[in-house]
Amino acid sequence: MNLTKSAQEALRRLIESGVGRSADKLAVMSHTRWSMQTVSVNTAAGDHLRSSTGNDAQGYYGAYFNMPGGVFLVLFSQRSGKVIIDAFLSDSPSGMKAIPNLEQSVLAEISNVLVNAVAAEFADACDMGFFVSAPEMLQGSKERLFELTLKKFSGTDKNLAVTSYVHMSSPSVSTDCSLLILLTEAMAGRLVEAIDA
Amino acid sequence: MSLRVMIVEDSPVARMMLGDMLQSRGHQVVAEVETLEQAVDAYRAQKPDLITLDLSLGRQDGLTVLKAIRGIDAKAKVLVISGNAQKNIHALLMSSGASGFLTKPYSISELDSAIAQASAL
Repeated sequence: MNLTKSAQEALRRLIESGVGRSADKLAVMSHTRWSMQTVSVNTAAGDHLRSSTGNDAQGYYGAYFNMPGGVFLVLFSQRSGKVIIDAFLSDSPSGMKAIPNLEQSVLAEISNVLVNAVAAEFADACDMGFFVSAPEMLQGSKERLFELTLKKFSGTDKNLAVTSYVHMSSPSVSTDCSLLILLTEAMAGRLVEAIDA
Repeated sequence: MSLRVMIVEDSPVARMMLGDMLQSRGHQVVAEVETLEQAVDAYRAQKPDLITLDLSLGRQDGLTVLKAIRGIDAKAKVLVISGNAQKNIHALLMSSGASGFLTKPYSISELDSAIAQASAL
């Protein structure tokens, strides 16, 4: 898909607006301020994504979601994930610790709120309404989680039009998380058309 | 006023937090369920005063559950609690019989207000 520089910039601003809402919600859930570090939008599809992981071999938690015309992957390094989980659970009921797979359940719930804030920005921009799937939790290196996400995206990445990568951090607790968004050509086109209108 | 509440939510973390908040406000949680089938069975068995309903329920969406419960009882009071704050979804839920909508994350005072509004309809 050929997106002009101005269309890419408009899409970047839309995603930034949605992520801004996500950061506000994350702040409420983790009791600390969050800010966006980077929001990138690329049309170079999967190859760009594969080459962006570098030598990062540390373990990550991933929360995968799909929606009509796109998928989301929320990434927490294991270290950051534990910090966010501790913050989230700081004022939780005492019985919470007995929940099986508590870490993954907490990150799934946090990711669900984050992703829905961005999805709402997309839906409202082009006057759509849709449901985002329930989270599917994954674990592995960043490279492996990117590969899994690309595979899940309609089976292949041939329809992939736009990839966006967002990095957020909370300096006060020295932690961070990332959001990967993949959009089909149809969805990216609809969003750009709506933004331009 | 103390209400008998049924929670429809597939996240165990969200379910426990909500249940704890409800009980701290004097409400009674009469059922906690995760699926459409469980929600229908529990509604028939318990006839709760209020249902809290999440929208992302694994295989089903909350709209399907809302329609099923309103199909059993057109007066059922359903408060949707979700991270999905899309304008068109909100309008669709309200036109399908939802009594109120609360966006995650929420405070206990926001929950109180939403319950008061939803149960008063």
